[in-house]
Amino acid sequence: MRTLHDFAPGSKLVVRGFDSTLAPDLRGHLSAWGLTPGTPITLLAHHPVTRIAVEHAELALEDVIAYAILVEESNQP
Amino acid sequence: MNSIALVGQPNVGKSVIFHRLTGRYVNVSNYPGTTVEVTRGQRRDHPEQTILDTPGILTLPARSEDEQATAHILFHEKLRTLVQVGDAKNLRRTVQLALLLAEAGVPMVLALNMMDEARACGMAFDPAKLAAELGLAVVPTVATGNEGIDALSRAITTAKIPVFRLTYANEIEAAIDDLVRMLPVAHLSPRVVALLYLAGDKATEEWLAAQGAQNADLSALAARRERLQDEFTEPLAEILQRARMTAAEAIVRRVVRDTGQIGNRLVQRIGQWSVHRWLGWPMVALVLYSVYAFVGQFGAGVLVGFLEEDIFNGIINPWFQHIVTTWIPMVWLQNFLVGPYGLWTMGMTYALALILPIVTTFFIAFGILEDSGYFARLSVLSNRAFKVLGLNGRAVLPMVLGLGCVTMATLTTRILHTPRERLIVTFLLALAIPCSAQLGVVMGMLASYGTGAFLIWLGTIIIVLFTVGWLSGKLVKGRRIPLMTELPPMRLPVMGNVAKKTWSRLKWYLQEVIPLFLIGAALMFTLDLIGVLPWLIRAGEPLVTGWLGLPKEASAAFLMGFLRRDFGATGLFAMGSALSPEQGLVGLVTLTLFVPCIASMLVIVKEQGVKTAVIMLSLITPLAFLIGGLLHRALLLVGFA
Ligand SMILES: Nc1nc2c(ncn2[C@@H]2O[C@H](COP(=O)(O)OP(=O)(O)O)[C@@H](O)[C@H]2O)c(=O)[nH]1
Ligand SMILES: [Mg+2]
Repeated sequence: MRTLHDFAPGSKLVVRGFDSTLAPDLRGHLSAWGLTPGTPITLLAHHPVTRIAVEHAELALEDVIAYAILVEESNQP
Repeated sequence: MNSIALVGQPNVGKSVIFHRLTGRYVNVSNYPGTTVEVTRGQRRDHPEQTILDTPGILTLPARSEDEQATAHILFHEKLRTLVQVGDAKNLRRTVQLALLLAEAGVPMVLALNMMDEARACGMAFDPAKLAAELGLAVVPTVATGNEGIDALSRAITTAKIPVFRLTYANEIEAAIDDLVRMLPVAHLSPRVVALLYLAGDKATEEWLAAQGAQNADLSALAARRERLQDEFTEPLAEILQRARMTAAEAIVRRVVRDTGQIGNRLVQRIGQWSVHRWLGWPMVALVLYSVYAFVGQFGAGVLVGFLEEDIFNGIINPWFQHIVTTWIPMVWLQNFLVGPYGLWTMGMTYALALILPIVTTFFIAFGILEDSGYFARLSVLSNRAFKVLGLNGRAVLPMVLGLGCVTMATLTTRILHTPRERLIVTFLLALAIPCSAQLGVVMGMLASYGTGAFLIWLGTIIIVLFTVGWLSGKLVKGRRIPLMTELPPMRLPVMGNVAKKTWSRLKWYLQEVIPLFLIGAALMFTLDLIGVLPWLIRAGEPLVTGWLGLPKEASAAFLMGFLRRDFGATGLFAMGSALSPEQGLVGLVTLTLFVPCIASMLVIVKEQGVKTAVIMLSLITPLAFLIGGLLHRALLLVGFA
């Protein structure tokens, strides 16, 4: 499965799950922000940290977290 | 039974709505974590009703201390109405929380705030349809524009318990049914208590533990939860959250038409630049320079020059000295009022002519930056630096807020995710972050020594901050949490809000800082009069003169520093030309690192306990002198005059 690392900024993606290396408390935080499987997101940037948009909110995630989020390309336009 | 709680996610406008409903102003800023404690106010036109402004919760269970305060309220306060304030443009998240709260068995209203921004994003709503889906009143509002507030107030008065139930998976429903039979009676519906308990909410567990063994069989409850957890690989909290997100997603699809367009107005583009890997840095430089130009050059230069030279030294003080010497025969009383440590000549003149203009300009600049959302966005650029300290960029917010008031910033550490982060940031705040009043004095004094002196002061403080931070990061046990934070949207500051904030901070300065300056001046005068001061000055001589290389009278300033660091700095200031620039610089660095003010010490005790506070204090004071002495030697070495 691909992660946020594998896409270019601007990609529209859907969260599919989390890598098992991600600590449970960090996962819990992501889910509190609404990052649960099925959520559509937009990748905004990779540097200096990964930034994504969930709805109209913007999250900043350090690489270890961003690269543990499993995603695939959204099939919605 | 007469309280109405405003709850909702961070930074959605709860505090603005609180202000609209009560007339009571609480701090409003564009970043999460402005409200870390519950605030109460009387409802307008219904003085018997109390409105509660609560810290934001992303969802329940609570994940940080400020969120727990809100969960606590739900259990311990019998609410007349629950008002969820939600961000209309982030509807999934808003609805997800509503899906949980709507089952709480409390009359409820959903205020769909920030409708202006939602509209600007091209979203078209059907609030009536959302109301029908959730079984509760939904009121669209623009809190900052006072739109929909009357309708909200009416809806609050007529609110009913929502007729709503989200059906979770079968095994979860079975567990809820079992738990409902085992749980003691609460202000909330048993179903919601069961849901929160299943998710492992801390406030719920604490409440249960307080109910006593005859009312709550804790081990049986835990066993039932355990049994349910065994049926899933993921934590229950996540399973429940996902169920609500999925349901929210479906509802949102039915009630909103979202073109999904991301706003591209200039402010939003600036917001993107502020966290851009290259553009972010020139922006930091520009912001810093603008603040320096406004506070340092205009405030500390132009305004202070005018007030101190022309108004105070030119007109008021000679006139006042004349009156005092003419009308008051007692020389000691003359000295008390207009002598070197005089209440007026030292206390009031410095407080009003020198520091006031500097803090005023600082508060204005600070308020504008706060309201724009820029501060929280700094967490992206600063993350790498905080990594060195074993922290992450989230820590930038309490640190920057410390420049306003260290006491408040210490409370804001509650937004950090772990006790370890809170401890380190609290310590660094106490050690190396000067608050606005102190910055005012420091800037005023350094201005006369030139930019080089200012840079040495700044450089020393930063080196100390990072060295000590790096050491504490190594010493305080626990793992580092990687950056994970929400960035508030960039907004044009609301000038009315900036003005209100500036005024409420100035009030703090006038009511809290100035009286302390006066009491301090009186204290120093008394100590001097009864001969204790000369004795203390002699006692401090080895340290102050021998180690720091300052004239022995500077001991008095350090004594004053125990009252407030800025007051101590004022004491140095008062010595004027008795200090060389080198001595002034050493004294200021030592005082900047010196003990935090009494108010912030009390907050540290409250947040971290007496033991930690004492340890911090006993580290900070020697460290301040150590650094001061080292700087003195370093400056001598390079021949700084
Ligand atoms: N555009 C817009 N901004 C708002 C609205 N309501 C609040 N704000 C801004 O949103 C930010 C957060 O407001 P605040 O009341 O502190 O949020 P709280 O954290 O929920 O208490 C502030 O900068 C407000 O000025 C609104 O309806 N529209
Ligand atoms: Mg608030």
